[in-house]
Amino acid sequence: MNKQYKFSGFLVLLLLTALSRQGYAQTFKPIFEDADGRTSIIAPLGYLGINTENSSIQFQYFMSKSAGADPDDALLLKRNRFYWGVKVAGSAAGGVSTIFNYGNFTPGTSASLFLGHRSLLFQALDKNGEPVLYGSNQIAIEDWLTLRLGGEIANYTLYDAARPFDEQIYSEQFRGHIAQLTYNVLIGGATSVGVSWDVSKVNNIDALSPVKFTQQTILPGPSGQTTRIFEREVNAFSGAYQTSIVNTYGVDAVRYVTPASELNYAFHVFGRLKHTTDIKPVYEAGAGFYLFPKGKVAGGVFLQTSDLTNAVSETPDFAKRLDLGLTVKLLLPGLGVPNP
Amino acid sequence: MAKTYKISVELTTEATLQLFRLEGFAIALVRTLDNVYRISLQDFPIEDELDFYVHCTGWNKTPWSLKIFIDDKDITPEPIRGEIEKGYSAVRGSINFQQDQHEQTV
Repeated sequence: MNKQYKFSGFLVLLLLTALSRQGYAQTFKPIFEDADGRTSIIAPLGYLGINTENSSIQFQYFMSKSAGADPDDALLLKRNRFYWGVKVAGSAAGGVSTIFNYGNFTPGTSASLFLGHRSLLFQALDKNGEPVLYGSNQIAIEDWLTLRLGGEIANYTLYDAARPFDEQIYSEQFRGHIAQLTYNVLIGGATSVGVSWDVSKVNNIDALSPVKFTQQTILPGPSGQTTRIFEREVNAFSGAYQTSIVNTYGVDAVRYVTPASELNYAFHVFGRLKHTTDIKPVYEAGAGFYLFPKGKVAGGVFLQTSDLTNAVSETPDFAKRLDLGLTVKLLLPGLGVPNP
Repeated sequence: MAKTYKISVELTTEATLQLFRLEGFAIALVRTLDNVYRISLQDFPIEDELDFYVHCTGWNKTPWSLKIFIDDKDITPEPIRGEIEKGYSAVRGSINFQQDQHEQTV
């Protein structure tokens, strides 16, 4: 991780910490993601968040309904366990350093639709509406099964020195998609385990090198005595741009620790197995540590290796295959409603 | 015969609201855009005190707070609060809304 990256990540953390001073409620956000923004632990609630590792800004809403009286028999309960949600993300592909170096976002937008069912294997309510508690410690267990369908559109300016001069700068529009099925369980409000499978169309833009240059267009006047020179600054990515279909199997585990003090923290470990049609399977793994100061922003750091067994990276040194990320999430501001 | 009132309920939480009862009736609340479960009821019958029940599940230490309005008057100037422990929070209580006081029992 270069110094600019470290500095820009720290700057974003400072900015969001300053924003959080408006007194948002204490919250627990679904921040347990890897560098690609992928997780098996989907928390069905609304939030506005920023993942500084993949430079995405996200908005999410989940419709949820509590149990009510059964319309056919008012004495019975209808548990309303189905839920749906939407998530919209704008990303600056190429990383935060691209934003801070050049001052321009590379446009990219994605949207997802979620359909889910909670309390699938572990009931939260008995038929009388009383809490169902498990084990000798009398803890609650809840679970969610979620299907996510998503699409992504991004425009990239690419540079390829091997092409004829007039074709060296060109644009590519990426149309990606993802279908993901996840199941996660929350045990006693402190331990969560999730497994997921997804198939997605991805590109390798993160592996390409950002380049910046000035292009001049020279127009001679009809008299031959005047020449106009137009200059345009071009930010592009250099390298062989590729897209592929990837099958990803994921597992996530989180342990949330709530000591008597106001500073709560959590540990997150995750693993991924990625199958692509033309290359051998790639294992990814990572670990994160997150802090939840009361009423403030939730943030943390995570270490991730995108190629655990050195299957494709051709980088024998394990330390060089490690990536360090910062994640910060903010609560969706109350829309005119007082916070608790 | 119980007198009827217009009642509005706002339950703010990031936890999952499993069940909410007023006067013993299970009332389905829907989460809105800002993580607040809301509902408004016309002609709701109340006997003397207003009995409520909240059952949430989620991550520990996640707070919830309840505000209730009767005939557009806030009868919970200080919201009723709870916090998730062992993955859940189940709180029963009653509000003597004519004197703006409430008592809670867990």
